[in-house]
Parts: sequence; structure tokens; C-alpha cells
Amino acid sequence: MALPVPRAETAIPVHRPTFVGLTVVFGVTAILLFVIGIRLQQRGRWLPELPTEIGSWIGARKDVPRIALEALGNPLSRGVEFSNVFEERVQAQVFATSDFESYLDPKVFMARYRYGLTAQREIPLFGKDGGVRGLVFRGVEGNDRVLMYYWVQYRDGRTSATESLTQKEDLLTRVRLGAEATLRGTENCVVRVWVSILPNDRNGVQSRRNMDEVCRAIHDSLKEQGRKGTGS
Amino acid sequence: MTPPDGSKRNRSRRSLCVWAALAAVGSAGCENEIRPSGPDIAILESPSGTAMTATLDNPLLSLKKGNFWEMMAYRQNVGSSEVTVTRDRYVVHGPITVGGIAATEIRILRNGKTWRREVYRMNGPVLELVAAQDENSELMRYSPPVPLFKYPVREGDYLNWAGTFTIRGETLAARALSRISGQETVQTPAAVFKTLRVDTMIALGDGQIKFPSARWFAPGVGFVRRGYAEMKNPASAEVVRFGGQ
Repeated sequence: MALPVPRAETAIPVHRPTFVGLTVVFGVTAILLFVIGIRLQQRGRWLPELPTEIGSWIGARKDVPRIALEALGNPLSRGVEFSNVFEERVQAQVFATSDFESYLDPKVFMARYRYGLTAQREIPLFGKDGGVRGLVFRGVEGNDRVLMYYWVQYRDGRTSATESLTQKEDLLTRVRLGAEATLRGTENCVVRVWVSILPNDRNGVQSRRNMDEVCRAIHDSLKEQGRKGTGS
Repeated sequence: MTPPDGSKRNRSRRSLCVWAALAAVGSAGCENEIRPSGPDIAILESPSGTAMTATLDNPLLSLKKGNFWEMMAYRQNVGSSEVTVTRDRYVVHGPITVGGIAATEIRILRNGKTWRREVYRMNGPVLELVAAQDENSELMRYSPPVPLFKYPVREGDYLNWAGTFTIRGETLAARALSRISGQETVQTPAAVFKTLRVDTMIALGDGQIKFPSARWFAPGVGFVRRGYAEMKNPASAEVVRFGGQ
């Protein structure tokens, strides 16, 4: 018995990607990536100055070490070390965001220095402008503690504590940052401030106070520069 | 089989929609959420509980003549395990004028002799250190007086100072920072006190010479504990007995 031959009209249609379709997808992707790249470059042009005097703190310029810059994709940066008469020190760094790597997560970054994360939370430090991501690290070997604040600050003073790249291949964050840069495109910078918690500051209260004071002043200074349109 | 023309358009639209959706998701939310966590989380939490304060009505240090504090003093001699213990008596001696400033002198007696003098004044709501004199030294005068704290006193408050330091006719530029570092419960031979700790650092000239000190005050009591440098050795003192308040 001969098998029935299906009629061409009744066969299940198979949609194979056509050359034109793929070209459209690749074209749109390329254009989008190009636009994102341009917008990131535009957004990353802002590199404000850090203040050099905050209340009882005197700041001295301290460049970001090369090894740290390499980990962050070699962005433009500024660094200041603040100290007071008690010889307490607070380190502050600001980075331009012309590339995704500038947003590298502090947890990933500090792991390279053999520090493990032992606490984190969002701290609403700047009122309606937003907050910072507070992180505590412990040295894997020495057990010394570091308190760090991380935030992304926009020219208008708004901050975000959550924009960070948890790994180099963090695709979702890249898409989100790229989309944000493309749609809004407000210039911004990444700020990292940290302090070593001294052994006599067992519960870290003084370190928190020092960080809060310095970070509030940095935020205000950056906001002021953002309003005036200063900062290279 | 060739798909109808409408299908091509649909796919192009679909790919655009995917990108648009990704962009929308990206800009609208889906951010890395930060959940408070970790064994050191207390460092990042806001201080809880009632903050301790002190007011002029219940001062940290009363400069009334006759007030006294008997303190056990311990000096750790650097380079050895030896600890020198003395019993010092702090007495509000009375009014004194230093550099034209009316102030109050506190004498610290050791073995019955004046071992150190400290001159304070209340300048409105601010307690200031006007001058100090160590054994075998001359009176060191601060101009203007160094503010130590201001009423009402609250944890975290601090006062900056820049002025001059004069000793044996020589005047040096100096700066200082005094702050209420925290509230601490201190156990002493006299009792257990709830105190406010005042840390002060006076740096002379380019900061090479520094006078660090810590004072723990209990409202209505005065000196409870002190930390200071004695002949470059770390020293501390704790109240054993107090009176005259």
C-alpha cells in the first residue's frame, strides 16, 4: 500500500531565519551598542574635584593605584586621603563612568585584595537625593576591618547605591546601565570612600561617624559642581 | 515555502520589541537589591536606644571651689612591664587669671605636692582649657582657650580649634580637635558610671608634637577616668572617691 503523500498546502510551516531578518536584528543590535557606547562616553565625561577640607579633615591628593585602575577598566579618576589630628584617615576616590567596568562591584574589587564581605546595607545618607551602599570587609588573613561606602552620583545630586557590576560578564546590569545611559544619559560618576576600622573602635561607631561626615560633604561638593557645570 | 510578507515584518518588530523590553526593564527597575546582611551588620545600623546628653543644669564638670576627685593613676613605663601606681587628688583650687582671662584652676596633687595644674573656664555654654602646667615645667597657655565641649553635650559633637601655644615666652601655632567620642559605661573602684568620653588632641606647629588626652565625665560627678601621656608613657587614672559637688 502506498503511503499517503502530504499535500504541500497542509505541511507544517517552518520559519527559518532569513538573511534579511538576521541583518535587521544585527543592525539594530549594532546601532544600539553604538548609541550606548556614545551615551556612555558622554555620561563619563564628568569627573568632579573632591574637596580638600571638610570640617576637621584635611585632604591630600592621593592618586588611585594603577592596579586598581586596571581592574576598573582604566577610567579617569581622582583620589584624596583625608586625615585629622587624631591621625584617623579616610580614603576617597571618584571615577568617570565612560565604561561599564567603572561600576565594578566593591565586593568583587575587594576580593582581589583578599578582603571578604561581612556586612552590607543601603544607608539613606543624602536625604531625598538617595543613599550609599555600606559594606564591611574583613581581611582573609589579618582579620582587619574596612568600612566602605559606594555610590553613583549624578550631576543633579541624585545617587544610586545599587548600580554596580557584580562580575565582568554581568549582562543584565550592562543592559540596565546601557539602557539607563541611553534613555536618560545624565552625566554621573562613581564614588568609593573607605576607612580602616581601628582596633580601639570595636563597634565601628567612630568610623561610621567619620565616613558619614566626609561622605555628606563629598556629596554636597559634587552636587554643587554638577549644578555649576564644573568638573572636567 | 516562503513565509508571507507580514511574517517578516512581525519578526523585525519582535526583535525591536525584545530590545525595547530589555531597555524598559533596565531603566524601570530590576536593580541589584541590597538586603541588610552579614555578621558585622551592627556597624552599618543606625544607633538605637536613648542617646545620653548633658546640660548646664547637670554638668559634666562642675568648677565649684572645693570639688575634689581622688584618682588611682597608672603609668605604663614604655620598654618595661613596670606599672607605676599613684593616688592623685584633683581639687578645684579656685579662680585664677591667665593671660588676662578669668578662669578656674584645678590642682592635681601627688604625694601631697602639686604635680600638675589645669586651668579651665566656662565661656557661655562651652568648657575651655585655658592653660596647663606639668611638674617641673612652666604654665603652657592656649590662646584663645581650647574648647573641649559645648552644652548641651551630645555624642558625636566636636569642636575645632586653631590658635597659639605659649611656653617660656615662645609662641607656636597649634590646632586641636575635641569631640564627644561616645557614651561608655565605666567601672571604677568608686562605682559604675554612665559616662561621655571626650577625646582631645592638641597638635603643635607642624603636628610633630601632640598632646592626646581622653576624659570620661559623668554628669553630676565630673572626672571618672582619664587617659593621657605622662613623660611619653601612656597613663590612665580612675576615680576612687569624689566629693564637694
